[in-house]
Amino acid sequence: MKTQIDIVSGFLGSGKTTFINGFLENERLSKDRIVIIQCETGEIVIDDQLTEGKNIYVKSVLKESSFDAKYINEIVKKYLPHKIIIEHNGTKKLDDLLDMLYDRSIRKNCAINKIIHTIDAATFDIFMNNMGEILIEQISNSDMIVVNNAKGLTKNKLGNMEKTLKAINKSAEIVRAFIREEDLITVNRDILYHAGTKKHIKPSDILFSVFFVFILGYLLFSVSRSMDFSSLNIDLSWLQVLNTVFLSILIQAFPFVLFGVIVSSIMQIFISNEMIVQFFPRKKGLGFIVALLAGFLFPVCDCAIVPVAARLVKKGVPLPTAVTFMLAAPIVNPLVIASTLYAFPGQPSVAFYRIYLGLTVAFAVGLTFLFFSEKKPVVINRLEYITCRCGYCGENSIPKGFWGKIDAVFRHAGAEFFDVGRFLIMGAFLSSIVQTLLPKDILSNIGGGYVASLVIMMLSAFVLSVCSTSDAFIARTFANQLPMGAVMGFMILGPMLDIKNLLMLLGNFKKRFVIKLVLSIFGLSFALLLVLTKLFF
Amino acid sequence: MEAALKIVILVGFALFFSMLLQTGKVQLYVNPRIVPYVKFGIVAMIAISLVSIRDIFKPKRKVNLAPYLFFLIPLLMAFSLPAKAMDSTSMAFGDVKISQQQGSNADYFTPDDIAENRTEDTVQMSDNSPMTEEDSLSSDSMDSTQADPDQTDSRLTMQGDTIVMGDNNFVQWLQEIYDNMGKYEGEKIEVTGFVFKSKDFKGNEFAPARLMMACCTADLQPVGLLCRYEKAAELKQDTWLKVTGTIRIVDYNGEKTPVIVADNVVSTNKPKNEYVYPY
Repeated sequence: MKTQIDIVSGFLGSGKTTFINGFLENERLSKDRIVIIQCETGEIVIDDQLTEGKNIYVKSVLKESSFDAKYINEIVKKYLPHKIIIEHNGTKKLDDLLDMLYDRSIRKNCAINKIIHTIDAATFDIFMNNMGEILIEQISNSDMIVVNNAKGLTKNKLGNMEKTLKAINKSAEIVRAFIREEDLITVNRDILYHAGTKKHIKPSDILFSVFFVFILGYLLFSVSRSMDFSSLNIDLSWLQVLNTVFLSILIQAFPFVLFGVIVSSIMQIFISNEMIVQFFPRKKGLGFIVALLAGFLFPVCDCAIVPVAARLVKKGVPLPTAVTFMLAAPIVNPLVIASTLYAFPGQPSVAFYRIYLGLTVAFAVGLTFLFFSEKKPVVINRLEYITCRCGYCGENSIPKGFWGKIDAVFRHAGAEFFDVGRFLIMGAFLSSIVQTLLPKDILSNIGGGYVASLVIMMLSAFVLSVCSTSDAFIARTFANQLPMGAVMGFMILGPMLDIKNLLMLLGNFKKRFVIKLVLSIFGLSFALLLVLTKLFF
Repeated sequence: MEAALKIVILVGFALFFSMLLQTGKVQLYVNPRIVPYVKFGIVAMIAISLVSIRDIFKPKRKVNLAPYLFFLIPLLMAFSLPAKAMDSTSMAFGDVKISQQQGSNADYFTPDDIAENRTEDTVQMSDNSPMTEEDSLSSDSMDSTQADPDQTDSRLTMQGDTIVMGDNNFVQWLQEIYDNMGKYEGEKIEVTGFVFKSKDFKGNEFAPARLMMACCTADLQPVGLLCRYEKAAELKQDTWLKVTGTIRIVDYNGEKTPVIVADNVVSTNKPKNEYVYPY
């Protein structure tokens, strides 16, 4: 049998050695040969009583340079241990250790069993703030997180901490341990023996099974089709239509999303926070103006703007400015202006009002976020911490050299693409269902007053809008039955908010923020359109 | 494993996109104007997969494959189901009232001063108009389509004394005719399109329509001129026809609307590309 390697990581004083002692206590009766490699020694030492007279060997490696694959191989050769426990140095990256353990010569004889991270609850916040990067790297690599010293904390605080941990590492099990000996031992027994076998039904498993059912259905379908069962003459043309519409949305959106994530990655790698923040002037008024017009230089569709806006916020641009930019850019986008002009030929005023009203709404929503400012961070950092813990995301670890940077841009863009893309795919799928199954004349048959038609058009913009460049053409089909103001509502809301956009927002921003954003977009654009279109039309 | 899956997805999409471009099927999905972006997408995806190649050999402990499933679904759909060319029934148009749709054209295609000036001098427009910023924009884009001598002008030349609305100029002619109804009254016209009927049509009315794609398949909508033809009732929805006739301006529900008075209607083959594009 291969030697099992367990890794215990955590900062100095977080309870690594105590944890190992607890484990050894459990192992008292077993005859397994165990080697403990300590890369760090703190106040607590491995209990002699537990190792005495048994096949347990404690090695300590204080010189980093001597701890390499060769060293491990020698230990394996010398002791032929059943288990190696590595007490990892908490200030080093876990990835480096893992890379070393993945060395071919080691993999022949050993397998990594469990990675445990210990946390001292009392100092977690402090470490998180100061050493966040390395802490997150370790947590995200762990299978199990042991929270020590949790007694002194309030339930609320503890809950928050565990939420943070979950956000960093969804799949790891979190175990609270108290410093009372017997608790620790039970916890440890759980950890190393039973926890691994515990099965949870995870959402991903459900997804997997749905997916397989889906594939199975597909196979059956294609088999039956290729065998030409005329008896199975079910009309599947709607499926084909759905498929075509779905793919067409993806085909036109993918390039824009790719463009968006590449721009966002270039911003991440090449442009420092200071430069970005300087581009959007500190002065609130000027910042807004730049935000409103920056979209003109940035001819992308509404699906590309979400990752870019999220990046701006991460880079330190004030939230109101970033929100304004996010909402204004798809409307002042030259392509969108051109499409409006095409859709309403001979009526440049329509395009003008669209821009004017769109900018007003964007500005108003920006102002809401200025006056009711968000105290807590709104951007989900999942992306940074989890999809790319390869060291090219942290501020200090940007690779040197032009090619290194280019490489990093594409890796980063890839990670971000897969992160945003799935929301796009879900959104595209939902809206293609709506597009194919919902008869379009439902809308035109709804009469009602001006207010009702405005609300209906705004809601249908959310459902029907596919891409900001085509909104104008869809809007035109309603132009005769509904007042111009309502059609305007469609064209203004569509680029700002639609199904796939909402899902992408949820992928990048915190839920609370998205709800607030959606409500203020709906509310403000409704109010503004109601008042302003009365003046114009 | 994770990296390999990533590369499979990216290369799969890139392959799918380039297959579409190769076979020209891309036109079933998106406006040709999007094609350069699609090409960019291919390049970007290949580039991303190239830099991910070395990750394959770097084992990772924790692999969460669930997010990637989302990408496999469309990929599977892309390769297993053929693209379907839409007809008027496949999109849930149901009974979109074409008269009203045409009416909407009439509303917004009505020649006003600007429209009449447009062909003569685009710069003049921005001089006269109070909205300078937007107008200079509009004149730019108008320039590119309306006044581009290579493209639109040649599209809008009459063949002999007949207007021929074909694959490349359908929408352009439609706009032109609505813009300058008076100019084209009495002209001969030849239109290829599919039969589109709606509840509101009278017995002798139908429209030889085409599906217009502004951006992608999701926004397809039928466009066309109303046509009066004695045997219109015998025509079956969605059959392809070539209609020859004369343009007349009539009063339709209170709007002046150009209609085709058909002399001759023959059935014809589906054109290679069924869609028409506004730009």
